[in-house]
Amino acid sequence: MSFREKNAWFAVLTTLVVWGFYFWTLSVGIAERHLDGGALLTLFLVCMGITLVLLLGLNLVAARLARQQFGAPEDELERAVDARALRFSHGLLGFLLLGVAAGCAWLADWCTTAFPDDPTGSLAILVANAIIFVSVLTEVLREIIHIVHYRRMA
Amino acid sequence: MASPPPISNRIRRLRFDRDEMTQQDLADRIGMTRQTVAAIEHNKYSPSLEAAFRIAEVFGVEIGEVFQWKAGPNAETKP
Repeated sequence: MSFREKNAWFAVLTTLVVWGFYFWTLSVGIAERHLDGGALLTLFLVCMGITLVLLLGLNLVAARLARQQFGAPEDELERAVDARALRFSHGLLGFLLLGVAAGCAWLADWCTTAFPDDPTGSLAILVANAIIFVSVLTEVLREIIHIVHYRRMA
Repeated sequence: MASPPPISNRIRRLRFDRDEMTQQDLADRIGMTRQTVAAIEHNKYSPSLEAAFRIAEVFGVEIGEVFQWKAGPNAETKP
């Protein structure tokens, strides 16, 4: 398995675990009809930190084990795979962001009934998290595309 | 899955003739990863013209001795 493929696996697994926990916590808040913006922001920052530390640490260990230079430039095949994955994920991200924008009106109506105490604040939290969700989703898909390409080449 | 490119190569043979040069050795000399060299050798990836010249240069042969075009003159071309 190439170093880049290991990077992609680390990114997928780390993202699924860390951000899976984040969105699970958010979904619990939605189900209980109680969204604490401050707590969610703190959790978001913690998840960002954990993701950063885990990915850096795992990639450093993988580079050390493979006796490869950390941050070595990509070769032409890796660049081609990355360009393909990026093209797909950027296209999808744009499409999903339009979906989020289109869903805002419906979400605003829903927030007035689901969160009568603070519909505006809840709407802001939900829209922000919808944007985070589609960003995380497309990033995971980008890494999965990397893995699929590298598996096909193996 | 995309069909393999209509290009064959003799990289395995040329490596064998150079005292069993490893894929890693070749990769290091042309600035690629071993996995990319393996993909080229197994005809799963067509290298750029520059990479093809670099590979030929490592073996000290003309590029046509490394890579051969397999498709006929009427082969369908991609846009």
